[in-house]
Amino acid sequence: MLSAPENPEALVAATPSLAQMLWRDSLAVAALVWLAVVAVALVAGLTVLRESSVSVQLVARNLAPFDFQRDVLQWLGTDSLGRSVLARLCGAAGPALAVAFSAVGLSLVLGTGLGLLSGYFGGLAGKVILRTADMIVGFPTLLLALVVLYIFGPSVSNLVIVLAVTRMPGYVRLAHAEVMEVRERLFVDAARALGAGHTRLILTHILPIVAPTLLTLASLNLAMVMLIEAGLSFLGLGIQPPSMSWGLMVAQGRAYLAQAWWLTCFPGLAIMLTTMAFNLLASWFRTATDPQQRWRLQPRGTKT
Amino acid sequence: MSLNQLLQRVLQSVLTLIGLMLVVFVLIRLTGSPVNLFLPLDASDEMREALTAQLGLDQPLGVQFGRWFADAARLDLGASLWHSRPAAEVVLEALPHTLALGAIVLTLATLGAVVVGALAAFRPHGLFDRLASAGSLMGASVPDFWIALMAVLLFAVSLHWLPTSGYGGAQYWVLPVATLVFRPFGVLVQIVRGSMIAAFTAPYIRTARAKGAQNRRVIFVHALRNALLPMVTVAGDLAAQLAGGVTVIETVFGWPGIGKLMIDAILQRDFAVLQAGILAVAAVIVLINIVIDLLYPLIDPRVRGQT
Repeated sequence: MLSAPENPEALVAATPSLAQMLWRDSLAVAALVWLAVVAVALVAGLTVLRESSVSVQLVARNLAPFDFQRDVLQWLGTDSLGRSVLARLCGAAGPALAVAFSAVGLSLVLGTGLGLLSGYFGGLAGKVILRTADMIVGFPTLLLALVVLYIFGPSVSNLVIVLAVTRMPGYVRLAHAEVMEVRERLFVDAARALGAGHTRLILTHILPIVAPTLLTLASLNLAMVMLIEAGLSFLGLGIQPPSMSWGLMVAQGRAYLAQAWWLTCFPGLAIMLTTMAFNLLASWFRTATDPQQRWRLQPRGTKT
Repeated sequence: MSLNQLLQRVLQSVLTLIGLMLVVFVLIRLTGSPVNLFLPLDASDEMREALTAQLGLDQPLGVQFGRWFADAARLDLGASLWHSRPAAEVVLEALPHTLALGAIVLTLATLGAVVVGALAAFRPHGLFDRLASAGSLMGASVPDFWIALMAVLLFAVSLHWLPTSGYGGAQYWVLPVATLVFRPFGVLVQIVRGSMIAAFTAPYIRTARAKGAQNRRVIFVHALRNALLPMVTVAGDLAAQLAGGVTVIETVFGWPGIGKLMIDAILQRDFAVLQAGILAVAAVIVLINIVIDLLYPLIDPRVRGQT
């Protein structure tokens, strides 16, 4: 990464900090701004708006959005029970993001661990790990998730486990491939010759080199897991009412599609913008951490 | 790939399929017995026991799987409880609807991605490239069930141009195909663009230009070949993902394909149909992956010596 350029002195002057590079990519900035909005919405949904997201007001059923004369909470319309769509969107941000982050975090840690081990030590165990990963990756994730969730019941923890297991092979394969390559490099040999043990070699010499690639995959997976969770919740096998999720909101709004388009439209927009933001940041992160591509994010004339 | 390697690959796939079916077999039996769901509430205990015995559900799991496997080897996948017909027949009836949908979607996505990706790569960071990148990113990020509902709202409910759901003539195909095409298109555009940009800076393209080849020829003959390999590589993953997307979209549009069949089978605990359905989908995906492996050496001569 940035902390270890191949030719430190020559690059120090030319290499801008991550923050400077971020600022030059207007789309990445937009993505960060959107995620900040989502974060604020999430906090609001857990605190101030908690009450209003569930308070039923039958007089205010299916109010159309964008009537700015009314209460702020009704600006994005109300649902069939008169609940504020805005408040419910904020309330749904929490579960959706919690599932996505814990599933991706779990698969990142487990997958990277297994991949590091199989890549570093190889052997029969390594082969078994890799073959199992290949087996999982070839099969339709959503379909298996459906069967498993139906059997064990659609709870949040089951959802996280299913999503983590189905996403894990990517990290296993990537970590394995990267470690195979890094393992043979000179600095690893040098460290080994100086008496570094396996743990030290893996954690302080190999992991930092492979981490950026794995983190890029993780941010791509955040987007993908959000989409799968939304799909499962939409089918009724993900997050269950009275909990809220954007996918579930789309499913609930479906019955009123012809009368109240805003019930399905806004939660879907929220899903799309958030997954887009994760995808954009992933592609920015990939460019920023790749020395061969970094110049794209630098001011013109300072190619390194 | 030599014949020997091909046989090895096929054998490996068959073993993978058996492993998968074993997992599925055990898992779906954990959901509970279909007997209570199938018989009326006031059915007597004798009737329940009789049906359980008839379905073989009173046997140990190992025996059940052994029987299923022996039957499956003779292409008998059991009888559907709800359709009271062979499960294989029910699944084979639904499969073509899904395969046709998937084939059209992947063909359209590939053709579109080649054209858009190549044009975008031609002037990186130009206006068209930025539009194409933003568009493909959006395509890869959009929830398919949501875009399906929005399309129904606009084209079916408001404009009355297309039917809301069902199966039939061309007008029934437009919305399912259009909503499924987004994600593979988005993913493929980014891949085509990336590998074409890499190709344009390669010496062999400069050589082609220097000897006076037309722009169009350079893009679609010389550079595109370079982009084929990564495209074919992701095609397998895309097919696997599409199988999931199809499930959701078929439910939304009431499409009589295998996705809808399996959702219904899960809800009705129609074990035979569910097993046959998963086997069929997995077999198709395995087959696609074998074809992809066979395509590699045809596309890239460098791979020939290695496999």
